Amino acid sequence: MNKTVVNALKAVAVLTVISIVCVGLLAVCNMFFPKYKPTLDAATLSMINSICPTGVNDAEAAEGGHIIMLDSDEVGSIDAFNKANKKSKASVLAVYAEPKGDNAGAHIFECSSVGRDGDIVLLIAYNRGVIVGASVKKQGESYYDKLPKDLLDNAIGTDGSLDLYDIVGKTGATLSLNAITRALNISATYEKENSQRIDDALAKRAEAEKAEKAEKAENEKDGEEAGKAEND
Amino acid sequence: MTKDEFKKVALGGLTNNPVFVLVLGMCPTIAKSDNIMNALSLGLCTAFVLIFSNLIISLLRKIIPDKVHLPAYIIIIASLVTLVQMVVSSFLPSLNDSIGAFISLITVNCIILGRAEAFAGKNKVLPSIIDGISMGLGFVVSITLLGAVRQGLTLLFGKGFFDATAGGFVILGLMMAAFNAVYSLVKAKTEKRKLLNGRA
Amino acid sequence: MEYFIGIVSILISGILTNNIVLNQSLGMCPFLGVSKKMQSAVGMGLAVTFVIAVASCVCWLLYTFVLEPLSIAYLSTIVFILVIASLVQLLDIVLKKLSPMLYSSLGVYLALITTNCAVLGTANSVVSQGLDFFQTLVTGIAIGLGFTVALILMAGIREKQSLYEIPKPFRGFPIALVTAGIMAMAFYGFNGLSFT
Repeated sequence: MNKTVVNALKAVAVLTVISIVCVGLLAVCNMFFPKYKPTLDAATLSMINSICPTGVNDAEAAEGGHIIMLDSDEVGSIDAFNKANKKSKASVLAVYAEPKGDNAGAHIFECSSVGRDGDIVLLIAYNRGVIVGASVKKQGESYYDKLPKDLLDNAIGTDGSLDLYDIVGKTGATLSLNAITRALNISATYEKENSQRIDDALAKRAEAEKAEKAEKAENEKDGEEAGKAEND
Repeated sequence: MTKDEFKKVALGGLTNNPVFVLVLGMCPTIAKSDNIMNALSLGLCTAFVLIFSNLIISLLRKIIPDKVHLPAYIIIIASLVTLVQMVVSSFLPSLNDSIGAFISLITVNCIILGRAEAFAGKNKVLPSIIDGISMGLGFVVSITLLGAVRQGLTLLFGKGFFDATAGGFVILGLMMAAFNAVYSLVKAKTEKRKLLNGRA
Repeated sequence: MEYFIGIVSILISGILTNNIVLNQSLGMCPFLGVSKKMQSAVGMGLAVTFVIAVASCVCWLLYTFVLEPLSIAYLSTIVFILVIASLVQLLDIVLKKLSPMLYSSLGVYLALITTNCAVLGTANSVVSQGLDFFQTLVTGIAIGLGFTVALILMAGIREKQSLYEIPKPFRGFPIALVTAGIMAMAFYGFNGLSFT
């Protein structure tokens, strides 16, 4: 084989090896690095408590389990739902619920959609299939101030499948407005599909809590009786 | 490695400052120097990629054939950047929100490819690492300084100009001019001293 | 109809209200380097427009049909930059044959289009915004045109500046940056422009 061919093959080989090593290492990292999971932090809990009041303050709501977060084991894969609804250009990030309190049985969804300058994240609360409250959790839009302050009030009382542009019209921040609409719509879709599943999950949790309480009561009784027997 | 050589390489970040002298890596410098946190984080990510790309490219410099050195460098740099992206998006989500988009642009930061081409591809591993650290530090200090100045001015004069792109251009231009003025002053003084010493 | 208005607004934002150089401050290196003469500015602008438009489309296609379905989206940085490097290499070969004059006026800056933040930045943003193919194409062209407009304006100013005595510390890049800043301020006026 003449020299140029050998050199060319050597070059290709080196490049291929470097590529495979790099891609391989990245694939390994991708498998082992945790995917970012939203958690029910104090700020989110406080926001949920204001759009969908439990009737107690934030600290009590956290302690007493008035506002809880449900994971994919209980309500089914959220990733699968987002994949199936890719066309909607919005996604559900987390599912919360209020098993107790003034709005017991409420479902709250954290949804996001891409606006003009990145993601807009909303918290939308449903009770019996109807929106009772919503707020913007996070946004970095340049023209956000052009939107009406009471924009999300238009969604309250609806089932979430509205189009804000029909109601509010031209604002000068249509990209942001449309992103908020998409987030609302995806929450509506999720509510329709998974409402029953969430209620079932809440029921299961309630039963598990009851069983735990009963067991605790039994153990206490046993403990008391054992104590009494000792003293006798 | 002689002491003089070490000094020359180690001070490269100052005499050949990537921001004020070589004028490389402009894009993140202006876009993300609007406050100190952004500037510092992006600077550190860039420095990390620079140091490790210099290291790896210097290690492999005898193996990579000259004809394909550019795509090879690009793959290595892009992989390092992807690693940083993964780490930041998994462990530092709030950082991801503020500088996430610019992390992937580290790939095309002229400083990294420039140093790989000009230094790491031709020098041993230890000098290359030192060069990476020096240039990286030079970049971090410059961009953070710019960030501090812009954030300070924004606090004094309010938002809208100094934390926006136009302000970034103007402040960087003024700081560059100041750097040039100081540098030529220092140079003139040391040359004058040399001349006088020579005479005496 | 709304889709069409969306396309027009992409054009306006790319060229005027969200100019890649003057608003997003990407694409600085050639902007400061090639903008000294009008002719080279026009040639550079067209070359960059071509690369941004084609690269955005190719990267969009690869992302939508290969990277995402296979869940290897994390490789997008590597894949995109390799696409861009190959495109510039292709442009190099084509320009050498078709227009040697343009080729020589661009010089080393042609190869530097690979490391132009504007190209990779646009590819990343069309993918993260979830646009469709036609919107991607228009975005690429609009951003390229915006770059060209900024470059031509800059070249015009700098050609005039070269006739004046500029203080020593400011010569070269510092004065160019301050000029760019003033231009960016002028472009702020376009912020009021919006159809939507």
